[in-house]
Amino acid sequence: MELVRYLLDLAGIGQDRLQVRWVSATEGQQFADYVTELTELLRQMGPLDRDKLGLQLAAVTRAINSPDLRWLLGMERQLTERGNVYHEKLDRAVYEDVVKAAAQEEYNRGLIYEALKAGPSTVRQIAAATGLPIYTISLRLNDLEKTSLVSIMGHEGHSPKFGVLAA
Amino acid sequence: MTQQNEKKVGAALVLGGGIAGMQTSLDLANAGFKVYLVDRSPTIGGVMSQLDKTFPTNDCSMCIVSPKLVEVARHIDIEIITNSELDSLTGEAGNFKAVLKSYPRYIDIEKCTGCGVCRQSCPVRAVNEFNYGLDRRAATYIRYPQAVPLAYAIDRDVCIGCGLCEKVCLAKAIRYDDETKERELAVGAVVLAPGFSLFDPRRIPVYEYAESPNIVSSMEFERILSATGPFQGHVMRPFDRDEPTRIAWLQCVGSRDEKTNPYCSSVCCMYAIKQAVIAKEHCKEYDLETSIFFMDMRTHGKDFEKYYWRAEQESGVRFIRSRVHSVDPDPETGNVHIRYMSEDGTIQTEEFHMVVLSCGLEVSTEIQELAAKLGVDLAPETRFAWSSPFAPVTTSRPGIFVCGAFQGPKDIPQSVMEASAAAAAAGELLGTARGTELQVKELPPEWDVEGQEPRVGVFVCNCGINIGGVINVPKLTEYVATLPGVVVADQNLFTCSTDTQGKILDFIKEKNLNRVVVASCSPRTHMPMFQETVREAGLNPYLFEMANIRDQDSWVHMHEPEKALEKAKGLIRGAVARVVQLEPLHKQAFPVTKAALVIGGGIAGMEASLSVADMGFQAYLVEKGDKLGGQAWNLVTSARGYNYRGFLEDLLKKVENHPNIEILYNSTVKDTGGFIGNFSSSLQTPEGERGLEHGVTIMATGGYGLKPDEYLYGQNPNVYTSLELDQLIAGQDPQIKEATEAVFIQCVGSREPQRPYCSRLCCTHSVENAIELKELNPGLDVFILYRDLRTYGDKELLYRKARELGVMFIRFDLDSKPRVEQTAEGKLTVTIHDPILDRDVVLKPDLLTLASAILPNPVEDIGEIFKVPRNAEGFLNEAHAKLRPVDLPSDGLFLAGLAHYPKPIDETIAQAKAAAGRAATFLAKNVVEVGGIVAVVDPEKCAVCLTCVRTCPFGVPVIDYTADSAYIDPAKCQGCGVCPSECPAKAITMKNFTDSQIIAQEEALAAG
Repeated sequence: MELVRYLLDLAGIGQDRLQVRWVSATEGQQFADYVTELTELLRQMGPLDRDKLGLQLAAVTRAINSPDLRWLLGMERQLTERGNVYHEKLDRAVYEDVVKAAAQEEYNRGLIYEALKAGPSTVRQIAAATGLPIYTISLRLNDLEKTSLVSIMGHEGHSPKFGVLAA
Repeated sequence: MTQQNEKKVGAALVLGGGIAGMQTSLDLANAGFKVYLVDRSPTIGGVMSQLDKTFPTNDCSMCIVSPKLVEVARHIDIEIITNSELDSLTGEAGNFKAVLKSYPRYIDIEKCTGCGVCRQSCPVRAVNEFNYGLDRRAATYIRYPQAVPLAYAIDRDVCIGCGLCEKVCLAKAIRYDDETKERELAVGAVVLAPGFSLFDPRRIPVYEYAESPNIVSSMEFERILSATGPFQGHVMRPFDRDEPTRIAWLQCVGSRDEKTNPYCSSVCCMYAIKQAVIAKEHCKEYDLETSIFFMDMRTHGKDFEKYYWRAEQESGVRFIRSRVHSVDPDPETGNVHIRYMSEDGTIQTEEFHMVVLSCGLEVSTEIQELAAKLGVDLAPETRFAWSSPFAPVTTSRPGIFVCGAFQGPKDIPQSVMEASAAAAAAGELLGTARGTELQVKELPPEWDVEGQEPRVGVFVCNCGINIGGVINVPKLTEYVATLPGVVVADQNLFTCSTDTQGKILDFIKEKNLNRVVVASCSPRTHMPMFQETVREAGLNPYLFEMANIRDQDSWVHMHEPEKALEKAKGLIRGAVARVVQLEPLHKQAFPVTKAALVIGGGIAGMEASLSVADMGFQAYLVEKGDKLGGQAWNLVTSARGYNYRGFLEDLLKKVENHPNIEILYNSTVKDTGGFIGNFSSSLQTPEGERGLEHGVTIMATGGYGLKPDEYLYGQNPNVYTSLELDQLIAGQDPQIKEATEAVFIQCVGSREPQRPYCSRLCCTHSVENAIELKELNPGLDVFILYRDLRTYGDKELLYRKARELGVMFIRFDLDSKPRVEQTAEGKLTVTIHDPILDRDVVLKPDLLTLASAILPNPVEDIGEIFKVPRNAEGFLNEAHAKLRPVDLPSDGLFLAGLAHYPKPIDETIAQAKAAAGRAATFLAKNVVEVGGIVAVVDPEKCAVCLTCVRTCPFGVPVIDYTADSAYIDPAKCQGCGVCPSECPAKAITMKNFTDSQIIAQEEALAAG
């Protein structure tokens, strides 16, 4: 849950757009209060950028579904409470930093990958589509190339165009 | 004396597993010493494994180093100890106690098969130091795919201990409870080969390295060029992956710089040229502009000058003699503006897409600390290991030797030379303990398979999931069992593991197998190991064959498992058909004559003879004149205080009085024959003809200084060569005191079209002379007219000193050489165009010294006798410019000294010792084994057409007129297979690769 909210923040959607409250079927008033609260919040936050929303959500979904991130999340209690394979307990802050860094990278990779589904693009074109910094895109593209998800498919001048490889 | 000798330990510790450490380990182990090769990283291979290509031959670095890696890995007497460092060293030369600290790797080297599944599943990432941070790797990692040992390691700094790798490792190699261990070793000698670290350009902020990803260090660019690098060898800039069309190299980053390192790093000019040339080759589709900004172009090695010329004239690399003023990256475009002052003093600005900083070589603080701990002195100004020029691989602490870039900044061949020299130096110390620490393997006698029905065992490997993940191995094994002749078909998770080896051994014995096939990976890495196993069971090792169903099948047909299975069936069918045709081969053993013939009695010949003799072998030193010493007699003075004469006299005494050295004066070699270990030569001596038996030959035929035919040499009494000036200085000739102006002209006869090489030592020689002149006569005006000042390494400090003393340096180009004239009274004038002032300067020297070229002594006669190749300038050609710098192409022949290339005395001594070190690897053996996979001539079929004689690249086949047939000496045949394929009468058979064997394999392969 924390992670999804973090990813929504990364995506620029905003973590507050996702809320979880436990409400019993008998607590009608409470449910109504929560909905009002959320509606008010959303009004304050203003409209979403609809053009980019599809891409952003797809990237969040890719990140959530990535095996690395899921494995890291699954290991939370093992690593921070019961102790890791070296019989050390990971400091929660350290663990969270690792997860956040992984989430950030997975999200960026997801964003690039989703953007490339529209067709092969140069780094600068990817930057225009995703809003990511140029150098960040170059670094994450390298990760995607290593896992055989993305490859160079042609050139535009002296700029290589990257495209999604068939699975 | 005897008692002390008994105490010596016949083992050596080598610190550092780069090319120098590997070479010294191989030479020591092959000379009969146990070697412990220790490296701090999880693998050996050093920097060479990270380079793309190597100068001046453009050989692929990994391709030439990986056979060395395999050789080291497979050597029974070399123990590789990774993740470890030397903690303490007590005792004395000949008998040290070394305590090693081994850090945990967390993966069992014995169990890990290098399959890489752990890396694929690891969820955390770290900076990939192998690619200098250009990309990232997992926490479970291996430095490079060909690494030795081929085992992964866990980077504890980033590992979070999630336990996933243990879950996926099929080989059960993960050891989370691994811990730091101490180990004590008894060794007789220590060789330090810890290498260099690259200067960190962040230390000079004006280069803006930290500010732009498109400003990279030279090693980063090397990785960008490499096919195994972050961009698979495509030249792209890190910032936006665009292909750069203009790249600049900035030289001397962290070299020749008072604030960081005052010395010259010796290699950066050549590597920058190489990178520019190779980058252009990589970018064939467009015209990549390459510009090198430099102060002096230092291409002083063998064939380097020609490389430089070709780069400029053929590849179109731009060379800009300049001082770089500022580097200014544009964060938007990623481009970099360079402001520089060109030679004529004008300031210019150019824009580049990418900038490479040619970073220097230095000794890391860790290594400096290690040296302090070991009591090994460092040269204070350079922080490289201190050594005397007369004992270049000997450190200040007896019993500890040094080689490679820790001795001083240097290139690969020089490192390899010193590595062999260090092995010789250790061999001299430990000669009496040779062979005492070696492992002797007892092998059962071979059983005779003659006339037996073939009984083949086939072992199919899953290679973890590398093969098994694609090919249905159980199905494959079932099929293999049905093949004709197959008695056993078995499958294993990892066929190369120790327990599977035991299983193969048991199967051979139980089922009386007389042929074995392993279907797994590459014979390149695994064939010798399986052959050893087969031999341990009493089977001839040539009754073995491999089918490579991984590299040639599962890896390349990953997405077509059905077809891959069919291909695997075919590959194994072929291997089985071939293995039943194979016949046992036996090598012949000949005793080795433990003597070296050394030709040439200069410093190189004397040093080589002395080293051979000190190692306990006989040396015959052949000198064509009546006196030893050669060119060294001319060295009479040194600004560095080197006592050349004292050294020479001392060396003469040692050589003349050594019981293992026989000197043959006024003698020449007339004929030679035989093969390595068993040469026999005849000599013309004053006492008549004399025959000599020897195991190896060392060529040290020397060189000489050119007597110039220009600049009024020989026409004016005040024009001298450098060596003649040395005599004046040594004699404190009054002419020096009386003179008011002295001029030196460099490159006289060198770097000219007719002699396109740099004579390497003349710049240093003139700078030293200039310092001495200034010291003898401080009022003297001294000018050195030069083209590029090549005071490489710590010799740069002399150049600095000369400038501080007020010596003036004026540069000229080949097309504007100085003009030397004399007046009617014999007064000299030298006119030179000063490029900085842009006008002619007229000098009126009382002393004019010509730094003339070094030429090799003519060796047409013995060159012919020994069939040694020479380059266009007459220098002897080594077997391989990079990795075999003291071997001649024919086995058992070595070279040293000026015969190879111009070089100063310390490098000559290193090479001479290296030749002795290489010689010892053969002389230490009691027998030399010949035969095996060689070509054999059937005299019945031979028509004496000479095809084999002409095609053999090694010149081995000869015509035996008593049999009217060609004869191929099994001792010399390299088994390359050229002559059997060319022989029109099919009279030549290649053993182990006969026509019938290959045809059987092909037919079976095609039968599917």
